[in-house]
Amino acid sequence: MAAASCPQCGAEIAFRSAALPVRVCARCQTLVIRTDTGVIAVGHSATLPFDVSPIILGTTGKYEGIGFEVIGRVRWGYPLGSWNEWLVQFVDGGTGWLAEASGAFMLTQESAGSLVSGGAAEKLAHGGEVIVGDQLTYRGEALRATDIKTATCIASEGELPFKAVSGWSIYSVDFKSTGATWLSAQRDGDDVTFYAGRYVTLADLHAANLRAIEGWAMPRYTA
Amino acid sequence: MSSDVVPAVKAITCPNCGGSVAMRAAGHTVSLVCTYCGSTLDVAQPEVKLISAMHEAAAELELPLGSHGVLRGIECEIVGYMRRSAAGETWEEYLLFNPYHGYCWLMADDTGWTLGTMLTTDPHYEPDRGLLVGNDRFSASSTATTAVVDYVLGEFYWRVAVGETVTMETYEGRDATLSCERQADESNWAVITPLKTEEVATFAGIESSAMAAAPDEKTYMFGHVTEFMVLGVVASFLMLCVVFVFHNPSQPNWKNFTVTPDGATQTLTVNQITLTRNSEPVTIHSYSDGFENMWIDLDYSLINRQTQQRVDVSGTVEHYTGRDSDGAWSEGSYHNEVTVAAVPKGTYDVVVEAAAHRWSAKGVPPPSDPNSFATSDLTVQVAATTGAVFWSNFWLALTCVLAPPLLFWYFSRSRKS
Amino acid sequence: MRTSSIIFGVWCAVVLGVFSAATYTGNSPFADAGRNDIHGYGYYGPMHK
Repeated sequence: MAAASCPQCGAEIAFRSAALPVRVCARCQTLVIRTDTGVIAVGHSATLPFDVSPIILGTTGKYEGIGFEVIGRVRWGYPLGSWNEWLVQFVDGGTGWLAEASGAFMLTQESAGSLVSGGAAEKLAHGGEVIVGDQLTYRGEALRATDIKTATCIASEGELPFKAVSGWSIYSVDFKSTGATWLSAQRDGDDVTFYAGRYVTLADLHAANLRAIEGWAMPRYTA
Repeated sequence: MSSDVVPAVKAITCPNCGGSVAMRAAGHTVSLVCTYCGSTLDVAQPEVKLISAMHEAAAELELPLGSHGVLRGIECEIVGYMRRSAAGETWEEYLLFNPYHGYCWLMADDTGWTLGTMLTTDPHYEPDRGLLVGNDRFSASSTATTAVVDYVLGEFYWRVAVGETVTMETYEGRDATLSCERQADESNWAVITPLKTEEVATFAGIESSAMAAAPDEKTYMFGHVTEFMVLGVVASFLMLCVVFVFHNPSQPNWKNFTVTPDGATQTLTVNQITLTRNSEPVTIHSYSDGFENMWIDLDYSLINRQTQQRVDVSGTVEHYTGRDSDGAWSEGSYHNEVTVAAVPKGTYDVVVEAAAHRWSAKGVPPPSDPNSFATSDLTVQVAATTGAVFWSNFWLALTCVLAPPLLFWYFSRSRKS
Repeated sequence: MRTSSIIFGVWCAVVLGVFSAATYTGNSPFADAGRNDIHGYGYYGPMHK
């Protein structure tokens, strides 16, 4: 863990790993990148709007037997709504995303492009427009596109693997299967990244250190 | 970051009416209907936008928005309300929210209360097993219908609008129903399970019996029709028994006398009847025959021996016959019965005054009118008996007792179809 | 709705009671008064033509 000072306001900021070079300063919301030469400010995050998400930075849990901690968040928006994507870091060093939308949670991890094939994948690779129902195959499982949108970053916090500045837009497509698999594709310019995983509940994750919300009994999930 | 307790509710100011509306699912909610003016607000962005301005107060809901309780083991709160209809049927949907567990639906329709949970994985179809969700099988139960939103209140995690339509299909399983709603290319699947009224009453903190408008009462209305019919039929049967128990007619004591057609009025004391009950009906019978185109005016009097009070009533014995373009016709009756209601207790003399007349369309018939059969005297038999059955009373009472269940049955049938 | 069954039961009992009383005392709004003006025709003779 490397400690540094925010170039904007001087607050203390810490970086956990080299794989996560981006951080949002908790005090002034400046996006800071750690480089070989030091830390530099690269943008700004808007203030996060109020929400009743049960997840906060520091929430812990277990996915597929491996423990994780929530260390960052990006809030994405589009004309018909917005949702949170929480960056989780696993104890083995890997990372994943815990997406929170319409009251449901999906945990995914970046997947190698080689595991994905099919019509939808081709369209994405060539800058084409995907339509609902387009198919792709992930590890031999068939998935169909269910949700296509251009999402804009509203705000972010904590540690991040990319520069999630407010206003950054990406092309996002969600895929569902008849099994438990859920996959999300994100295209930024020419880069396409696939995140694969499944739907989860806080109980499945044995979530702990959740946010306390007034008037609601905090659920206790045994590990 | 420490887990300080954060408020659950955010206050939103309605740009239309300025009212302060509670937003209970901040971060998820996209549309919020103002409880004061009914305007639909877009709250997806931090800036509240007015989508449709309205000026009507919120309808009163059986389960108010904000009701917070435990349903099927999960603590949740009512954040939204929708009324939808499809194929002539209307139902209500309450959107329930828990920040840790997400959303589910509490629905009310003609058949009762149900709980709906969105499916995260689409069901898949196997040719020989049908539609499957895990290991549960579902088979198609209704053809696709168009469901339209009729009314909305509260907050939703998508853009709602009155008039919004979706195509709905349902599938029946052993313990649950699957519902698929399609709009454009999107399809949303939900599993629907039945709930008991008590469970809903407990959740909302309302007395089970106070849920008079609870939909499953409407189903039960059919059961209540049966109760009503049983009560009605039992009452009808008892009425019939009453008729026969109380009807004890005395034997008629016929007295004969003769009258001359167009002759003098005959007066005769027929017989004496004694009424033992405080009040009794009396029937006076008259009979004559062997004549045509004549009538006999009969004026009866019941005169109380002690008080000299009298009851007057009249009857007619008549018979007419003739021919016209359609053939022969005849009218009238050789019998006459008059009923006198509620005659007070006592002994009565029954006096009859009889006058016979010949009839002709032209007026007084000539003596040699071929249509008048007899110019000789007519013999009349009269008798008074105690007791009379007023069937009209019976039919009136029967209608009072059978009409409500029959109407009920008719209306509950047309509801169910 | 249980209440409404009771109300209907009471209604049936009332109708039955009134009917029984009327039958016992021989009361009736439909009792004969013979042929008179109430029936609408005040003369004698057949109705036909």
